[in-house]
Amino acid sequence: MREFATEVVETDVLILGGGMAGCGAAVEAAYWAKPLGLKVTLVEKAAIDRSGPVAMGLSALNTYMGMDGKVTHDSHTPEDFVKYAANDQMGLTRQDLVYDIARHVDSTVRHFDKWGLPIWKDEAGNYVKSGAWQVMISGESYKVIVAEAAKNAIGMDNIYERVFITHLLKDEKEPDRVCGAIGFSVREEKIYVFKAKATIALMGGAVHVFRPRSQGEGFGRSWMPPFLAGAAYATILQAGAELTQMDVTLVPPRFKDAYGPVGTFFLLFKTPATDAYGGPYVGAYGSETDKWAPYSKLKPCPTPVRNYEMILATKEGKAPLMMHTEKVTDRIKKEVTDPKEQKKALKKFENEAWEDFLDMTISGATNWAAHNVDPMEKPMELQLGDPVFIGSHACLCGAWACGAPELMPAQYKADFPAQYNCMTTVMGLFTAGCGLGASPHKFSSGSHVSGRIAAKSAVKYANDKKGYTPTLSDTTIGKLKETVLRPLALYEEKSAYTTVPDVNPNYISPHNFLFRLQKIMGEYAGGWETNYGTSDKMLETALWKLGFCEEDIEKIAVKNLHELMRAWEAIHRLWVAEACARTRLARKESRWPGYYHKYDYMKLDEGKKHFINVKYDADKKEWKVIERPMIPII
Amino acid sequence: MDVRGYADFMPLGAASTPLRGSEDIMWTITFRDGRIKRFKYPTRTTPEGSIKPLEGFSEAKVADLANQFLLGEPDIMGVKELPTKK
Repeated sequence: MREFATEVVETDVLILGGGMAGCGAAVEAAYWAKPLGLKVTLVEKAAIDRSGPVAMGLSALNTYMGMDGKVTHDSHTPEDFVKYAANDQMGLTRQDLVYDIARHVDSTVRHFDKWGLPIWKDEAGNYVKSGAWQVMISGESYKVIVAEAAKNAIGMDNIYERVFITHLLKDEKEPDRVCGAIGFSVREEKIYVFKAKATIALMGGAVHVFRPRSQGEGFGRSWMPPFLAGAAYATILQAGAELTQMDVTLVPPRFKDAYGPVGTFFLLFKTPATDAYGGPYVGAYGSETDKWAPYSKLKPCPTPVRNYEMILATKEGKAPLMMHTEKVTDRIKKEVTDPKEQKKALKKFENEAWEDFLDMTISGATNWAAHNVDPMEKPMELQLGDPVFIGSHACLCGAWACGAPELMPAQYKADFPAQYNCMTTVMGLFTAGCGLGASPHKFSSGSHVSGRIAAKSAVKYANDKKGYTPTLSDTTIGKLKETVLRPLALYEEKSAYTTVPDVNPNYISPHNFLFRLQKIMGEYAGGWETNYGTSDKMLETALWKLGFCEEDIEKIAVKNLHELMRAWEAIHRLWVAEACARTRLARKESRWPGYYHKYDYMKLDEGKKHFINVKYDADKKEWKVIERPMIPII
Repeated sequence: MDVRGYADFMPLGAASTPLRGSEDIMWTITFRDGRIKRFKYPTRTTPEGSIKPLEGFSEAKVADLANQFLLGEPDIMGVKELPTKK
């Protein structure tokens, strides 16, 4: 194998990931670092113009308070938002973190407006809200705009694109401190070592840990994008920090197969959804869902309970479930009788309905056209997708992190090595966006502001630790380099053993490794294969089988740099899977019906309303499960 | 450019074809049965490359690292003070 060059980059604040949180972090860090003379560096595995969950665009900003009242309706306070987010997640959230996002999020949206994001406004200039929290946008270029701001803030010289981070680095003199990261270029034979005073892990969530419903070309058709492979969760875990609520994955209700989101159809167009016989399934299963009271009875009904209604309707033989977009057409025809105005109203609906998909889920639009379904005339099928780890969406997974000083309950203080907002339980390591646990409903705008909050905090930390220089020996870097490149070396060593290199007893391809992982998670840990159900014994079996996967990490072999990226993505996903299975095993209740059921503990148990955290000791190879109390601030 | 849908769940014959300019995007949707629809949506309200995210704000002060205000706050939000827990 040819020798890979090693480039060492020394910086003060290291931002890993250039999605919404990473781009927010870049702007904020640039602002605060400038007068201090601190250097800010951003690393991204793709190109930041079109990376992360907003890569294809987005049709709404799902988190906006409108605290200045300049909205068409629903001006809210952070307190309102905390109540909403907590109820949606069946009562269990870090309210201090949710509050902090809510009180800052309007500022991020105002920056977007200034930068050129087309936000829908009424004649008076008020933002058009579709629901209580959502502002409508024409967002095809949303990520391009946000990336441009990040690039212009820190400069392209400080952005490393096409670099895949595999590990966080620990300081050799202070083993409980993170001092940077290591990774490889996905385009040239080069290893990158980044040394930093403060490191912010913003590599997003994780999809494809559970088996996707489409197994052919649409294997990659997931929500959010399939390239989020759990690097944030896996590297934070490997660095010894605590992850929280890794059991609570989002099961997204979507237009079937193409995964077109349903939010705008429900909220803006008030589209009715029914079972296959035209009967309502929403709110139709009270005798069962009432078992999740008080949460199930609150308005709006929590996402997990709405999902559960879809499962119950399916079990009753009433699938497929349908989104009746054509009934919006009927309603407009009834409500607007003037022929000219009616034509205008129908055209507006048609434009907005198609834009919802064309701005963010183009395959959703193509799927309508491929099935000859004009949404003005015919309904389209809804289905629950595969479980995904998206700490910024309607779920809870992520790192256990320090909150803002005046918001965080005092009882959490001792969990952190120092009191810096968004710092994990490991010194020098920060996170935000999907990485920030128990802080649901950030979505894109909240993730951006979450990155900004973490960045200001990380700059403060780097400034407070001005005298600190990371200690990292060449021997350590050499060993890590060998680990990172091992799949390439193994392929070179063993591929001639068989006539067809793809079938070889000495190694496993990243793709088959991923299939193995997804089969275990899907069939034992609560995938769609079991209607999102699992049990202690199933999880014990999952963990037993995942143990073999862990051993076989050393047997992954790859032919080229692209496959090397796939290998490390699969390895990161394995760590996410194990964290999930261990947390689900520790959770002895079913709090989030429609996300996952423990079939051996079918009920909500308010006596168990606490966070379940996991951490991993890489030296001892030991997992630890930790219960943390739920302390409300409102 | 020409595109098609994912082959493992979409019938053949349809396409969503974009034509992206500097301030809007046009889409041509071709149905399997030959129907065609066209849409045009704005993509940005400022010239490409013109964003100066730090311009128009006073330079950061080291002492302000200790407070909770982010870039432009609270003025940019149209409120007098940053909400906090009462």
